[in-house]
Amino acid sequence: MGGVPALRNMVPLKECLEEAYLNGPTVYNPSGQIPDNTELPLLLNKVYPAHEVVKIDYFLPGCPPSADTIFAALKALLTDEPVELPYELIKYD
Amino acid sequence: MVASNTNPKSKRIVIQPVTRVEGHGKVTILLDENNKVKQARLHIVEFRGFERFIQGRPFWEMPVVVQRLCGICPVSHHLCAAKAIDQIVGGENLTPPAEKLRRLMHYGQTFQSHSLHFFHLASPDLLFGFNADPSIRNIIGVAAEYPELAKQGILMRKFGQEVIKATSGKKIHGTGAIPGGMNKNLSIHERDELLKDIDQMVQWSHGALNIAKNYTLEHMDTALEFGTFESNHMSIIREDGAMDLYNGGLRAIDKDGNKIFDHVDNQKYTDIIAEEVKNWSYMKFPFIKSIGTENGWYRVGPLSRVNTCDFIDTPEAEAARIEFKDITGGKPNHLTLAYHWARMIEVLHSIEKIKELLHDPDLQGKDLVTKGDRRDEGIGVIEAPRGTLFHHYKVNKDDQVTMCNLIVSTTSNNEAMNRAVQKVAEDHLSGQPEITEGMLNHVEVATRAYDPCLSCATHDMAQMPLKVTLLNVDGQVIDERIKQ
Repeated sequence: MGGVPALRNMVPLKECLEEAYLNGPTVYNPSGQIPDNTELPLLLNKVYPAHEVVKIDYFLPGCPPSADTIFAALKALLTDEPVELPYELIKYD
Repeated sequence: MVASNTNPKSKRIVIQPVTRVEGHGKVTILLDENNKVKQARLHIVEFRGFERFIQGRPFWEMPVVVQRLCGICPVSHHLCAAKAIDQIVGGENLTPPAEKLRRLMHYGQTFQSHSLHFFHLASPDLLFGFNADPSIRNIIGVAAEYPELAKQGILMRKFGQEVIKATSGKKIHGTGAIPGGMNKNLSIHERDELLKDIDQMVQWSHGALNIAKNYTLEHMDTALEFGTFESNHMSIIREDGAMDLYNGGLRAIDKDGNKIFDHVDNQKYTDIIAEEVKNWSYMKFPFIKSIGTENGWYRVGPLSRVNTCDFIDTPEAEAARIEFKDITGGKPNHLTLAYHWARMIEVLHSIEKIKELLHDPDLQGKDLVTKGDRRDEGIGVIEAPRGTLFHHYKVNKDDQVTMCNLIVSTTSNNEAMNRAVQKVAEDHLSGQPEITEGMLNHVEVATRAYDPCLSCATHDMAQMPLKVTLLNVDGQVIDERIKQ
């Protein structure tokens, strides 16, 4: 889904930039510029989840995945077993 | 870059991304026809827009949602947002158990974050040298050559994470702090588990402090010039002038140690601090309003805190502070490389505080939440591991956030990191016929001393190889190196 950063997709990018660089209570920006230098990568219109851009072999759910989840996944890969995560490892707050 | 396109005589070097820091950054260096440095800049190349997209969400979500802008020191954001939200529910005068539990969480956080930086990110440069073979100059190299030290680093970080888990429920992105207090206390069992390892942690903290101190003293000739310049420093400070990482008024000092402002109510931060927007970085440039954009920039973080405080209220860290201040005759220390030493003084301070708190019976208290008159605005200020952090929210009558302003610690070091990059580039690259990986690592070492968290600073996240491109005067690639 793109996680917490994808919350941005509910808002036009222009509004995000204006809030950060024009409207904030501590912003000092007499010329009203928004960062747009050629050294900066252009922002995409929306946040994409990684699997829409590159092929992902395995997903470990969690923000972040717990240490036990990572261990279980690595162990399964090393021993050529299927990755099976028990319920406790995919249960969240 | 505009300059390189308009001036056919210039060369442009790019370090992208900067490694062994958190988040995405890149350095560009412009050279003239004689390979003299004309301009060096640290660009922050990511943007997320937290300030806008959390508008409309319920205010009580803030301590849980906003901390997800970082995986290294989420506790700082968790607590800073909680401090702001405390005011919305009129619960900023926490009960003693709640405040002490939050402090314990925060010292656990500082302990693990500083340990992570020192052992995992910075130690390869300090132990092997800035020019060492990059295939050894990394954490795996440290583990092979100094296994005992690598193990200490991992276990110190683990201890800090266990403190965080015991107080917030999880090692990363916990939920312990709630509006007006905490949702759990520390059980006797949790306390005793932590107390088992505490003396070992104190001992290892002394060891880490000694490494950082001796490194600085033994390399004083390097440290005196390396990415170093005079500056203002800012932090929060306790009423009696003690270092306080959790709460206090704002103090800023100039390069000679004179106070620019002192004990300013942190609720009035917009009166004294503003952030300039520059078009070549997504990270803003904060400055002290009374001085202005040109000279009002300041540094934050461990070095600044040791400079601004009058004393540290734990005995062993205080002894270490006195030794640190003796080097400069009591004046502010401006050495970029001294950040490591100051950071380890804070590691010792944090573990002393953790030990003190674990023996406090208030941590088993049951009076954990307070509230009072509801307000529509809240401002939280805290000393995160990397420096002063500000969270500011406004809410409507339906409890939705209508305004959010974040000044993240690393942002306050933006100008300083750019100056460090410029200074090191001038001192180590300027006029050289060939640019080596070692030279470029010098630039990164200077940035790394500030332990920047670029994800936090632009409110994004990731990991990276290093790519350097050298272009000739016509803009054609004449040399390119990629380090994985």
